[in-house]
Amino acid sequence: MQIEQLKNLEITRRHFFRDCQLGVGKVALASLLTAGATRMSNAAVANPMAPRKPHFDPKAKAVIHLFMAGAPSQLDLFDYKPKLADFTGKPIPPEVVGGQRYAFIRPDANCLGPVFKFARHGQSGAELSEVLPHLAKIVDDITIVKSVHTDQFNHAPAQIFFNTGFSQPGRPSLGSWVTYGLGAEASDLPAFVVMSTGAGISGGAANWSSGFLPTVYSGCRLRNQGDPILDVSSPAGIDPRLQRDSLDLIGTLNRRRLEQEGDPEIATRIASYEMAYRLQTSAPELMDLKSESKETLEMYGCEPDKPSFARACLLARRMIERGVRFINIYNEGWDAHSDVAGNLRNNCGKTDQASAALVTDLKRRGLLDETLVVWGGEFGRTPMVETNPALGRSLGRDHHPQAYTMWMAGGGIKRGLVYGSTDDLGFHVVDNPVHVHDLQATILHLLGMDHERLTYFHAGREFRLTDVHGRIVHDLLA
Amino acid sequence: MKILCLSATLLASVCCFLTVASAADSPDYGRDVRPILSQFCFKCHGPDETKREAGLRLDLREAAVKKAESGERPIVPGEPAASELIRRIHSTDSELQMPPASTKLQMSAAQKETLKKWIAAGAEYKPHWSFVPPERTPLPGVEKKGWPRGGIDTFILARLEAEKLNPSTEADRYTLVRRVSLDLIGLPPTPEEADEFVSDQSPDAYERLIDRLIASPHYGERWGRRWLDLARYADTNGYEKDRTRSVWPYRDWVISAINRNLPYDQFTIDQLAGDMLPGATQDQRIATGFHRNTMLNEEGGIDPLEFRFYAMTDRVATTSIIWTGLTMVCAQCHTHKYDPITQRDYYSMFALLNNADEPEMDVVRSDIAARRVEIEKQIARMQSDLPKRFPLPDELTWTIVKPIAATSAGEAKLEPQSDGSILVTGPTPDTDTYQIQFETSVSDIAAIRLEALADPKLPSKGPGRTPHGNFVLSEFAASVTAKEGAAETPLKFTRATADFSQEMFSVDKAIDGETKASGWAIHGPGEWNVNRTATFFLAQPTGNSGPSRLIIRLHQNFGKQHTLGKFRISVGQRSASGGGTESDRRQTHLARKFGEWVASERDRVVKWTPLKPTAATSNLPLLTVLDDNSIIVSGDMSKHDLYDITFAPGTGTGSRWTAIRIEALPDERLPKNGPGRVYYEGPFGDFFMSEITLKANGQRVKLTAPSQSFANGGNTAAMALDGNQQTGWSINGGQGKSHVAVFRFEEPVNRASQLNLALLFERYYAAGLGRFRVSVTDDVRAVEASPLPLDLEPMLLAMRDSKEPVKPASSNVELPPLLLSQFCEVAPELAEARKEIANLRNQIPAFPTTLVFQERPANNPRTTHRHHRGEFLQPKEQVQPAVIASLTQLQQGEPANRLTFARWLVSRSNPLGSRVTVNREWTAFFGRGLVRTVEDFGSQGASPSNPGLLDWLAVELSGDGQNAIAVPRWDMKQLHRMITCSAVYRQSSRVTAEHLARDTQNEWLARSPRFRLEGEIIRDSALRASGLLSQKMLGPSVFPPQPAGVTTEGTYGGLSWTVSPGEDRYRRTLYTFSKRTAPFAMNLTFDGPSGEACVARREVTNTPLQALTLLNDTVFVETAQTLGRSFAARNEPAEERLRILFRQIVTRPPAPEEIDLLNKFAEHQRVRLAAGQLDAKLIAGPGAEADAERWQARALWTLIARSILNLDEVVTRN
Repeated sequence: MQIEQLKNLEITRRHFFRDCQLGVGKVALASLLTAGATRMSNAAVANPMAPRKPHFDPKAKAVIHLFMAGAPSQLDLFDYKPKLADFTGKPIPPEVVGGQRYAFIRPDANCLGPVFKFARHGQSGAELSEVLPHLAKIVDDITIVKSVHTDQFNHAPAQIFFNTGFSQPGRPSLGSWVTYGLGAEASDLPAFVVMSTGAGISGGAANWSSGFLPTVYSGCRLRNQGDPILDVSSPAGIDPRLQRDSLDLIGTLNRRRLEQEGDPEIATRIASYEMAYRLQTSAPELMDLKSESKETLEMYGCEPDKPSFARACLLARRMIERGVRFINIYNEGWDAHSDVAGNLRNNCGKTDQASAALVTDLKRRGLLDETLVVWGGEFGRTPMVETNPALGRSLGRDHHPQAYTMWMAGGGIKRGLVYGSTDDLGFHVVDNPVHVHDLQATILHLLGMDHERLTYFHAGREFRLTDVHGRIVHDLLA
Repeated sequence: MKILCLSATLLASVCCFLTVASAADSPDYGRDVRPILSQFCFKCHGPDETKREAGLRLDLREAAVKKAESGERPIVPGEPAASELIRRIHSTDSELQMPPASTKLQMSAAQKETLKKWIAAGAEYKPHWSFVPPERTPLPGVEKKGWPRGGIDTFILARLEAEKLNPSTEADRYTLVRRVSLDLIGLPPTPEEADEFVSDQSPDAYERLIDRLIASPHYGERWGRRWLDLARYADTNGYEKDRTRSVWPYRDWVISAINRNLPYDQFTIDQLAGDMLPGATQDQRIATGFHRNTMLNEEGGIDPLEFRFYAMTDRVATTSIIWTGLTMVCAQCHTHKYDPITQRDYYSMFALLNNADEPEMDVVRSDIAARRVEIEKQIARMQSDLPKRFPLPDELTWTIVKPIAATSAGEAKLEPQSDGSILVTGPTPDTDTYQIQFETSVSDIAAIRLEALADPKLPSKGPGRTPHGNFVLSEFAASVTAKEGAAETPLKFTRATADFSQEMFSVDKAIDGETKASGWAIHGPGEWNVNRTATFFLAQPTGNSGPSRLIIRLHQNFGKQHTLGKFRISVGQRSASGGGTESDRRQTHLARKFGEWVASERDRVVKWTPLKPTAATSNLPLLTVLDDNSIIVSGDMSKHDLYDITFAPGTGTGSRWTAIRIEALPDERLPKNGPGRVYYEGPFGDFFMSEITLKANGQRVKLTAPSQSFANGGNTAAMALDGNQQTGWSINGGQGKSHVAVFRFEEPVNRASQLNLALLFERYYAAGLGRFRVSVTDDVRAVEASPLPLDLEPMLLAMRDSKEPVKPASSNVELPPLLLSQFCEVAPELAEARKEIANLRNQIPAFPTTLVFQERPANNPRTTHRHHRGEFLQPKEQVQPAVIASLTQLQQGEPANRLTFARWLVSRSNPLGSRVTVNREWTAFFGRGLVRTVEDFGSQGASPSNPGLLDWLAVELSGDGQNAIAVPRWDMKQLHRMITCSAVYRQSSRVTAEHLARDTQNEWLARSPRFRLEGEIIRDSALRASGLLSQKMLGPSVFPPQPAGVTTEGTYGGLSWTVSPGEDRYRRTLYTFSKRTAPFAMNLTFDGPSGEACVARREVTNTPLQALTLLNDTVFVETAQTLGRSFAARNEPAEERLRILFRQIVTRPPAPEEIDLLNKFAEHQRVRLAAGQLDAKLIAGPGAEADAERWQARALWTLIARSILNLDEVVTRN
């Protein structure tokens, strides 16, 4: 297994992109190799971003994870519970709740029925809330999983848990595991990109951290303000020709140094500078939406110069075209402790159209089959109402780890499936439970990797994303 | 012959490394056998009793060679064929086969063969090398006797000779001075410093250089930063909100301790248990911030105890990594699979660290203390002067004037009453202006008084007409006319006073000439639907021209019916002033007002009888009854704390209790001095009393009429009585003071009853009350909470009981000082004077605070449990504190506590401590440890590359060997001196083809390593080269420039990154504010830690993002521009300047070819600048220049500097 080899090499030559050995560095390396340094070839091969063969044939090559941070209410979007309406204003039966702890409400809080109308859509007849009109149109392209459950019921730990399989910061994120396992396809963009389109991500940078994996596998933030990638613009007054001149000077001086010192690390540095230079072109090119048709922009509901969830989705498609491996788009603000209806109207207004457009756009460009799209939050919301005059809250819902809904599309996922179900009050999963670890295992499986074999030796043992858990949900696979 | 002189250890290690191929012949237990047994057998036949099958244990030889329950001997040494283990692993019978098919584990043929050979060779078990205490290793013999400069070199050379490799020659002097400077102080030398060394021909020049660097205060900054990686230091709490915390005094302690070369054992003990040392100093307490660097989750709705548990697991993990190099974390959930650490061991170590409270401590600094004393003295002086500032009496004689006409601009009806007042009835418009005419013969009117009067006919009793009874008087206007119809003369007011004004609605807004919304209003705390008076003073008294008409206009334009409901107007005439001097009149005025106040307080005061608690318990916190019958609360707390207090029945007969009072008392042991215990998420020092329940002899007492002396907004005492746990009484804004709440009994209670009080504190954060006292009264009046300080009550009660009338005090009577000072605190006449005192009080500088550990009192130890599967919610049996049983035991008679543990970690009983430490220091200098896995010395960790050297250094450092001569005990500076003075360290770092071929990873050190510098050093070096680097040390963290949005975009707990002014923009990078969820961008790009976990070795990567930072980031742009500015202004010939610039950044002189290349680049850019193709001003940066040529020169030097700053050599330790 190539991953094993990589691990054993104890790489100090950390690369960011796939072919760092191209360009000037390559020449230098070649001269070293001819000098008879046979072990060098190992070091050169040990580019941590070189594309690697997965464990078996993959269905998906890339992933776009639309992370609805703050946790959308499944009961008002996907998991229609008419019976819950009958319980509105009445306390939830204690036997349903069991010993569950809550963040804000008491376990004997009253129930709150669905706050929106639902209708069936598509051939699958999936029920969706009225605030998801665009998703309704592509419902036959996606699989809705109503039986997701998690271990955590606070935002930061639950987000970190979803991404890293562990509730505390410090473990590698899904995107890091994927790039560690597969390397990069993109030659001049980062392999793992993270975008934020809301007010702030509870779990912070731990959500895209490489944890104990080499830092080269960390997610790279694509930013809304300033440079999309930090410092990707040259300083004021430095035109491209001057930047090129400077890099040539630096490169020549470094090459001279390489000849004297003989350290291949210098060759890697030279290559890094060349990649940086290319990134200075490729990043603005990625961000420039001029080449996108009016029809496409309208389909996403995207204003090219205005950062938004819609723009992030369109950028994600462009990144997929350019070989980016893993994309996280966070949309924050779903934490509806008060006015769940208003919250959903607002957030769906910002995300529904673009989420559906992304799937449609990938599909018509023939990219959906090899791109897995995942949509959902870190947990669900309670069937019980959250009302607290002291905190100025009414008609909200609290955090709910026992059952929530996510949807997936493309990349080897069935089409038009509604999977799993919950009890009449939407409290517990009653059928086909899918734990977060199971989703992680399934996502890795779609990418051609066995979650039990994708490991990294750290702190005295082999670690994996799913710890000692996780099971592939074969029912979801096309 | 030489070979025979090699030590046994070295031989062993040589075998281990040279003969991997021959290992199969005689398998080594530790290297070859244990991993197999560990992987396939120990899960069911290992240390973990609960999982042990068939009573068989294979990890201990004596157990493995004995007859098992089956009667068979698993291992018969020397006889594989007779060994049941061998039979079983080869068996194909599913009943017998090991490991069983159910495990899905399959042993390879080679592994089976290894076990067989090992048994054949005698089945020797060996303890893992790192668990055997290090012994002083004899120096190995070497061929090249002239090369070693000391013990280190001898060990390294012996290894190189065994490998048939030659050490490299010594690095050139420029490289050496740069290397050792970067390594020891994290900064490059200046060209002058470099020259001084290079030209110093004396034989000890290098050693003196080392001494100078080690003595530099920058040494503590460089090595402090490395320690902070381990200590997971950061300036925020982590997790969602990631709020700022103050723990930088700990960071400063680390830097200072390293600079004063605090021996490492003491350095350890201070940090782990400084609070427990006899007579612990403030510094030693600050040092315990080490384990307060754990994260704190303040996300709404979390369970604080759950996250304290996670913090504890971090403390265990961190302590293990730093002082034992063991992966204890594995044993959190189950007994360690590879190392002899049981799950019980884990929680025993957990227990050693688990008995501390976690307060915030003031760091008393003499300069601040002096300033505080100075201001407090000034305040005391001003307070004692307050009586002297009591105003002269206004000495006005008031006459109520009766209206002759009164109209509303709206549809309200103004009805004159017999007492001269006007009652407003009829429709209530949103806004209104009343116009009232009076006829009066009073002359020389100096002031006009408006009484806003409460009346039962008004909504909420008024005095306003809103449903809640407030009003806003936007403008008070008055004019006079001689007779009806004559021209009006407006009256001009200079000031206004009121007996009460609502916050933001002071009475002077009613005479500001502005008739719009703002004005005087009276809503406030307590009962405010009462009479209020405003007095408006005229600029000049009206004259004496006989009867005249007075016209008053009351503009009320706030809206929402904020109009007056009942009012009365009087006019004031200046009476003849009383006799005596001004001072006498002032004193008389004070005495009179004071007398009135005392009389009213005396009449109001209630006799409260403190109740003596006989039992005080809770769900979790410890309630301790103090001598004054108050209760102090300590220990852990939850989000639902319920205090349950029983009081002794009262004695005596007669009257019955009518009301109960809770005194919430400040205490310096509480956050922000209390009275509450809130320490995270909510306002520190606050509490949230959700519900109060009282029982008398088991019967619920119905409480009524709640009142409080102070409340935070609507969180009044009534909220503790409303049956809703979500609401309650809180005092945020009143921290550090006492507050009371009073509840009356609907039915009086017999004083002989046993009273039982239940107080519930429930919030989405833990919000218990920290200190309080409970009293009752038999007062039959409608008692209420009073803001009067509690200590004045006895005095007032005594006055009342004496039944003496309050003396009409006169100027020559000494007023009782305590009461007088309280009067001065509340007298409206002194409001202005008190403002100055309040302003001064705001200027009292606070001491910096820091987070510390504080061992819990003996009567309230925290218990530790084993947690099944490591889960917080699954505590099992209680566990006693102890060190890992298989390693050692604490000395008999020593208390099993944190201090003993800390001492043990740096004692000889811990076989790992000194080894792990020297290995970590070695890594700092050589980029790679003698044990590569710096954080793992367990059986899964790497074997030492030079075991003899590791142990030799370990014994040298800990001073445990005989004849330890090189290093005083735990002297880290001396260790660094020894390492940097070695020949190994001084080698050239040039990589030859042979090096690459024979030792790619440079394990044997035939050359000095080259590695990329840490991000901090890269930034600091650039700043120093340009002269921008600030020399300022220590203090609160700073905010140098970084790209926009790093700490705000996508982060939940956003922090606006306001760049620090002045030299703080250019401080050493370790002073940069460290935000856990959004670390300083450059640090993250260069593999710096986030502070979320202990980092024993940083990654060293080489990425395009780093190139982008170095090329384009503000700090490097400013550095290049600064160099550009200074080099354009120099006078040397261009080539000489180029040489100086190069040396300033790279240290060594440039080669001619390098000069040529730089010149060519410069020439090319010069042409472009002159041709206007490049914008010189943009490139050169801020400033002013006389002409275009000068701008171009600056731009040119900026560009040259920028290129040199980006050279590999500059960011690499060569």
